[in-house]
Amino acid sequence: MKKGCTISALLIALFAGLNLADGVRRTPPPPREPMGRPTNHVMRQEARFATLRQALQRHPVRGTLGYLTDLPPDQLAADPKGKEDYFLTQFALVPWVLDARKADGPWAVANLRTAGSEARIPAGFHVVEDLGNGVLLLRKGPP
Amino acid sequence: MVFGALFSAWVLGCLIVAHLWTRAVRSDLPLVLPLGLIVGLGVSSALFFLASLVFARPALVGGALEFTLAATAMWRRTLRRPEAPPPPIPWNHRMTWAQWALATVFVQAVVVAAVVAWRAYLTEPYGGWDGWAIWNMHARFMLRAGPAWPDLLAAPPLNWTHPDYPRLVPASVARLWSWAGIETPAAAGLVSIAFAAALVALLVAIVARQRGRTPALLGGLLLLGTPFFVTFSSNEHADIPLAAGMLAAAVLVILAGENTANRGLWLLAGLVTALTSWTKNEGLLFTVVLAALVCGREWRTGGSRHAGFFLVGLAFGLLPVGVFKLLLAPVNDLMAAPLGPRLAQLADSARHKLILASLWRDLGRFGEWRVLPYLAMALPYFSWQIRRPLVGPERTIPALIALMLAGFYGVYLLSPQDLTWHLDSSLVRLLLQLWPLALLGWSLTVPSGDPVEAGGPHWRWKLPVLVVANILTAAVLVVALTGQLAANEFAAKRSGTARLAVTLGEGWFGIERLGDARWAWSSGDATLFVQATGEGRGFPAKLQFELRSLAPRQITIRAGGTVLWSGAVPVGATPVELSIRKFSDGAMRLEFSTDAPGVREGPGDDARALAFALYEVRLR
Repeated sequence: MKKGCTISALLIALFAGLNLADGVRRTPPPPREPMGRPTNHVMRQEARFATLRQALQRHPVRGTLGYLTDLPPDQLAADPKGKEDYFLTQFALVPWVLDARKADGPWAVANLRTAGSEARIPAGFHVVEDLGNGVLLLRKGPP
Repeated sequence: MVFGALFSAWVLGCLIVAHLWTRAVRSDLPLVLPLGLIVGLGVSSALFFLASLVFARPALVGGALEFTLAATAMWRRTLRRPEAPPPPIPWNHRMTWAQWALATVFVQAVVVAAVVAWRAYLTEPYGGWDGWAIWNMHARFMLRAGPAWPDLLAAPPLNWTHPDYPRLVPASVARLWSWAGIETPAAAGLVSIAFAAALVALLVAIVARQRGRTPALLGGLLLLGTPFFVTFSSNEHADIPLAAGMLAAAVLVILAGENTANRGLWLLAGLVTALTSWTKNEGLLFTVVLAALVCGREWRTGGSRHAGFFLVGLAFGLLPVGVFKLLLAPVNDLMAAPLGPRLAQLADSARHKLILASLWRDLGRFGEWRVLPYLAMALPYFSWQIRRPLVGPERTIPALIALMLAGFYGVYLLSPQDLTWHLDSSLVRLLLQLWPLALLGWSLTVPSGDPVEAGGPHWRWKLPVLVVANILTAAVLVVALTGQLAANEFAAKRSGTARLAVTLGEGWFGIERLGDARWAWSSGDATLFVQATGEGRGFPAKLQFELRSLAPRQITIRAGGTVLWSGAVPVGATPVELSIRKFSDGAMRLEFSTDAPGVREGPGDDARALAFALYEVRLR
């Protein structure tokens, strides 16, 4: 029986080595971005919305904010990429709560990726700050 | 400061464990240290959570509470009578050469696993989907919103982030951020890795204590040889912390049951069991199951006082869970759906079949193994009679695993979610949670050969062989790890300290791999970078690759407005060679443009429109 235990020990050591080697192969060093841009999508969204966060702190913004994107709210729920973008924006803008389904509050955030999406800005809202890259801070009422 | 905050939680945990440890701590240090880390992170997170409900800067109040608790534990420990030594360790002889060999393999596995975990962290600093969308999101609310965080997090638009999930991980991360004064993702990664490290150390320590070094090292190797565990260890989910808590609770129940004078260990076992409920909702199931098993066993064997101490520890540990679940958290999404239709699902045979089929499938793949370890694990049991039977409270382990699996089965049966999606998105993680417990059970029962005394004439040649083998293995590991291409690199060339690398820019679908082959398809115009680092920079160099396309097209490659190559690319491979001369700013941008749109790769809605591809990229 000692032989069985020895073979088992050798196999376990060998299999652990093979499995770890495969883990190394499947986990390469992290991407190296030549222009210093974050390679991780969460970090990229953080950087994209950093100025908006500062703008929200500058303005007396409280409560839930509307969230506007290239897709209307009913299509956003069925679009995995759009939903992930919404979740990432929420992660970047904590503690403000973003509501993609309605924009009846005084403030809203626009996250526009495609040209021409500005037409989605609802009537009655105006751009308080255009922070670039399709990121806008909107407020209800006359400019 | 992030490390300081983690260290202080560890010290607090060690003092609490040492205070409740009813035998000499020094000889049990390999057990006390990992247990201290798990308990410390759990207790400090609970104190931070309670302080965060009242104070905008909870670090100060939480820290004061931690200090008070640590001082009390230390003071009370000094009042204790001299401790009894722990039960003697029957296997405590000198290590054999085979054990030395196994130990060196284990150490190398630890180093490689640490490199893999570090890389996984660097690739996703805020963790995978659940890491940022749930656990780190909750941590941010706890830190940034002040005492209003429970109301904000319970807002209906945030239902998707599961605001009812327990708070151990978010509070631990928020505590580290708060102490450090900066929201570095390293804090979240550190908490995640700390639990994984404590888990490995605890598994090895308890098996070494109960069975000896060989089963302990084999158990540790099986865990480190589970790629999903290693890559997930820094992924900032709560599954590894939960697995660590469950293992710690089982270990404490085993130790507490060793003799009759273990009041403190029973209290600690109850406390740690409750911490699993503070980590994840599955921990609530674990708490109920373990409490039932402990109470049933102790009452049956006349140890109802022990069960009482266990329940006191449990009640104490469940305080923050109760405050959170009963007063602050919204209803869980699985519980919110009407019960009637869900009860009807119990009789749906298709659901039973789907759950069992998924369980069978995921038992073989949850570890993401290249080689399944099950056969090697089963080999020693071919002679069933010589297995080591589980004794005393060790018998709790198989019952615990079986009842947890039964509980998961019931939850899936009653789930209001789409069952296929629910199983595909969670079952592998549930199995990973139970894997350390299964390894503990295996390590405690596996027959091991008789130990051979160390020393003797054989050591004369075995020692140099062992040393040389280790040096060679370490050299191979260093070369393999340092020579590996980064995730977005196509090719690299080293010359002295200089390194040239080709990386993808914009306009690509990402690098695809099959074996050693790498290629990338573009969606249209795209950019490629040649990066240079180090002294000398390795110039001049030749960049060689093949261009392929699904339809004939013209492709032009420019650098800084100068055309480097232009030509017709038919269907098939077109070899290209570019001269890379020295550039000044660290990276050379190659712009690829094409005159024709992409061709859809297939008929489905998800089919990509592919323009051209790079294959066989080399730097010479």
